[in-house]
Amino acid sequence: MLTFQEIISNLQNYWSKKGCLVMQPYDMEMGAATFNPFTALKALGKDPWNAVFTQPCRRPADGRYGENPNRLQHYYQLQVIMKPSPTNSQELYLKSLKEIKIDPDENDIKFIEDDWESPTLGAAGLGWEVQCNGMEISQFTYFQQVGGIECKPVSLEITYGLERLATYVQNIDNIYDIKWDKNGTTYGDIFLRNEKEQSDYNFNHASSDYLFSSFNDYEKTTKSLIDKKLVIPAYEQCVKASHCFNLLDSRGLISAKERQAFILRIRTMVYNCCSLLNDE
Amino acid sequence: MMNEFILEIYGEEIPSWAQRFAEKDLKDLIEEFLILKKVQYSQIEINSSSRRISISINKIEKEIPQSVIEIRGPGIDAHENALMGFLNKNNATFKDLVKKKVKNKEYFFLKKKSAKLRVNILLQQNLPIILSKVRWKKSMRWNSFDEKWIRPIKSILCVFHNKKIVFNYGGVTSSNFTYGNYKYGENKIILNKTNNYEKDLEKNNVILSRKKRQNMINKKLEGFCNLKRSKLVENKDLFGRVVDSIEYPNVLFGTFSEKYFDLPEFLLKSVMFEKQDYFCFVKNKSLMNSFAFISGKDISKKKKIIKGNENVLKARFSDAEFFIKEDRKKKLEDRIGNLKEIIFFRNAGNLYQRAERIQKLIVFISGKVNLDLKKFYKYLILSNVDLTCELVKEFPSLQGKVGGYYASLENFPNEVCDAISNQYNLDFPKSDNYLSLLMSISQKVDGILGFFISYKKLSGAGDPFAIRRSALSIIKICIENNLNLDLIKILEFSNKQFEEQGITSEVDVEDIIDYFRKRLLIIFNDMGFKGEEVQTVLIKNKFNPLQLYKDLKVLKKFISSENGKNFQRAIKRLISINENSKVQNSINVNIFQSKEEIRLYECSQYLIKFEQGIDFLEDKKFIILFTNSLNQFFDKVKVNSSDEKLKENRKALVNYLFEKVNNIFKFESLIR
Repeated sequence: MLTFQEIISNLQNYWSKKGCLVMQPYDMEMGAATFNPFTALKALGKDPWNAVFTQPCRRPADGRYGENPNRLQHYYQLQVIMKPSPTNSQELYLKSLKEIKIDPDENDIKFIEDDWESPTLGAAGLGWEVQCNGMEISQFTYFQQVGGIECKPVSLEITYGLERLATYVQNIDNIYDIKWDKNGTTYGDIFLRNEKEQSDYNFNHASSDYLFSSFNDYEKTTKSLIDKKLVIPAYEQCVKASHCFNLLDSRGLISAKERQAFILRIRTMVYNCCSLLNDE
Repeated sequence: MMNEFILEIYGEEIPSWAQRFAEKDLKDLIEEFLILKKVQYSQIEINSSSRRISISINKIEKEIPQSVIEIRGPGIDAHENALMGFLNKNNATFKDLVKKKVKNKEYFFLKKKSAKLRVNILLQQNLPIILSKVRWKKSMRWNSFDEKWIRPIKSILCVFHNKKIVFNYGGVTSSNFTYGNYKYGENKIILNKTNNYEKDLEKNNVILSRKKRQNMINKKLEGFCNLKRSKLVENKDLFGRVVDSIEYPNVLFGTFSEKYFDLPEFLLKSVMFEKQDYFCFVKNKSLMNSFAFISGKDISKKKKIIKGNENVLKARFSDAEFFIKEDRKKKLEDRIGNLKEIIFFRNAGNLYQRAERIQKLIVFISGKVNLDLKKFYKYLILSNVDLTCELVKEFPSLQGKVGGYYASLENFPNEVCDAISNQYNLDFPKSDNYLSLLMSISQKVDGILGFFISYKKLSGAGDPFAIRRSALSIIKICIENNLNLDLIKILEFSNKQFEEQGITSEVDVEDIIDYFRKRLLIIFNDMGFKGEEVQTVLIKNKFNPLQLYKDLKVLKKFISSENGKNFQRAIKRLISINENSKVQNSINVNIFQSKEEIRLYECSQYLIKFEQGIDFLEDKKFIILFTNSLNQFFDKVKVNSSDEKLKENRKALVNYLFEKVNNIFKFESLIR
């Protein structure tokens, strides 16, 4: 049986052989690997870009105090980004599954329409949710737009939800039972306490004053960094603002109406970064 | 059938809603093109599966024969240079020209035979343009190519009279081959004879015809039902989705643990239908623990695939179980405050405000139909409180159902649970639970007004906010359940409520009633009433669907009766005399000259007493009297009298009658 760490290394090795750089995770809190500048910013412009990396993701509102077998507020995505999107994208993906012992000849792999849109990133793409015998194991997206700018060439983004994939590969029902290594260390051993404590923090203790004022600071800093034409630091401020917004959201501190306004503010920040990059 | 032309675009998975749109579009575009270029053919057939869309044309000619065309040159009085230029340009001499008059001016015309056109060349030049014009609603680019399609194209097959036509689109060069079902190995299929196209595909596990795929699925499902003595739970949307999401339909069956029957049936069904695209079955009216699904994979692998799907379903059900457990920690009434956090429509307040309005509207309507809902009053504020529950967030389509379910667990009265459950139902069935009817009407009226306050008007096709279907539903509820309600009053009350909450409404209730009138016309047309009949009963200032329905039934009977026919003829005279006449004075009773005038005047006074058109039509004695009075008046009395005073007075009488009759029913619409 493949361990969690083998799943990661097998996929990374495979995509490395297909010409992807093996990158390390970005050192910031983010809701999805798409926010990683090596995805979002690299999807713009004409230069080819091929990379694979795991990215820890945080979605504060999804925390369940470690009680739900399928939901986590902190989890891992394995991200593949290829620009331009290869003409044999699907074949490459299906072969990658063999590396983690999901043989497309033995399983029913379905590509179910799932067009993706990130309101905060001003990004949109068309593609599928990939199901293996009825279970979602990946997202497969052809980027059409990032930061409000048309992507040309088009990038392909493949995102493997690693925990979900591992429960399938290891044939278990509960994420916390995932075998991380061959010595019997489980996912729960490493992360259960984290889930409990972080859920409590996300839902009850994240300081609203601090979050609101930080959000404003990030916004201000983005503006000044854009004036100085420092795209990457400016974009990082957007990523911070986005996580801040997610925390405010999970604390239930943003009404539905304000929610839209916050999303719009982040999007404007991202737009400005992207158009600065695009102008270069 | 002999197919001389086949075009197939093969690519990555097409979303299942998209094929039908594209089929129609591609077919129309190709037909339009063939007609424009005058290419003869006998039949076009279009098919699609999850990975391809293909068009076959039967008996298409290879060449477009020569035809004579006329090209207009300069006028006959034009300068010689102009004529020479024209001849040189067309490679012609003077003797090829004829003179012809166009709008009083004479011109030279060149008669010329058009060249034979080869259809394969035409297709080669135009197919890329045609493909680029297919509207997929959503389409995309890929790699570095400029062209768009629904998903990346992998190959294009284009064969015309057994020869390939070569063109480029989306980075692909068309050829004479395609691929079989890739889940069975993606064999390359070279098309030597266009006739074998469908058969070759079938050999490679692709069933091109939707109908055939449908039948295959149906047969399997029926077989299961016969064996288990059960019935399939019908779901057209699901069937439509799955039939287009595959190239070859393998139907597999799985089961789930009976312990999940602790969850409500509507939830189990919803998980299977919406989240997993599974079919489910009932036996003796209760849900079975079996399900069916369509697999793209060969049946020989079924054990693993079934097990996998069973596990997913189990996880989904336990997720739902978890949500219910979480939701149940907080009672419905303790959730009311959370509604304030959720916005209704932009600029139309929050859901708490909506709940308050719905509560008041239900009470208002109950007064109109003499129902006492006092004992339910405290529950009415909870109509939409389930929107704060995790289960609804996970299954938005279950709004209402979830509320009703939790209400029953909290031992609310049955009428309340039923009302909350069914309020969003768009084809509302008959119900003897009046609370249910009133809540549904109120919820929908409030929804429609909220929409118009926020968005001002409806635009575009479709019905994303279910506004059209809500209006239809309200009308149907009133008619089918005998609810005597003037919707104008209800809409006015509802509109006022928004304003009382400080929400600015620029809605003119009359505009919304107009919207309802249009919907009503559709319903009545479906019931077999003619447009002009409906127009006759649709008078201003009132909109009571039930009454309108009753009026229509009586009217329909009346107009085909002998009395009715006579009456219509008399009214026709009234209308034509009244037409174009301008009335300045009011009626002066003292200058009537004849008994016909007096009698007609008496009739007009009698008309005032009819409040409902229906009372008028049912007063047979009066109808006969009125008909005779009208006829005698028009026979004996000259309206256009030479005496100006008398003439004006008679015109005033005619006009007065016309107005009075029109206030009862607009016979005008019927007679024109």
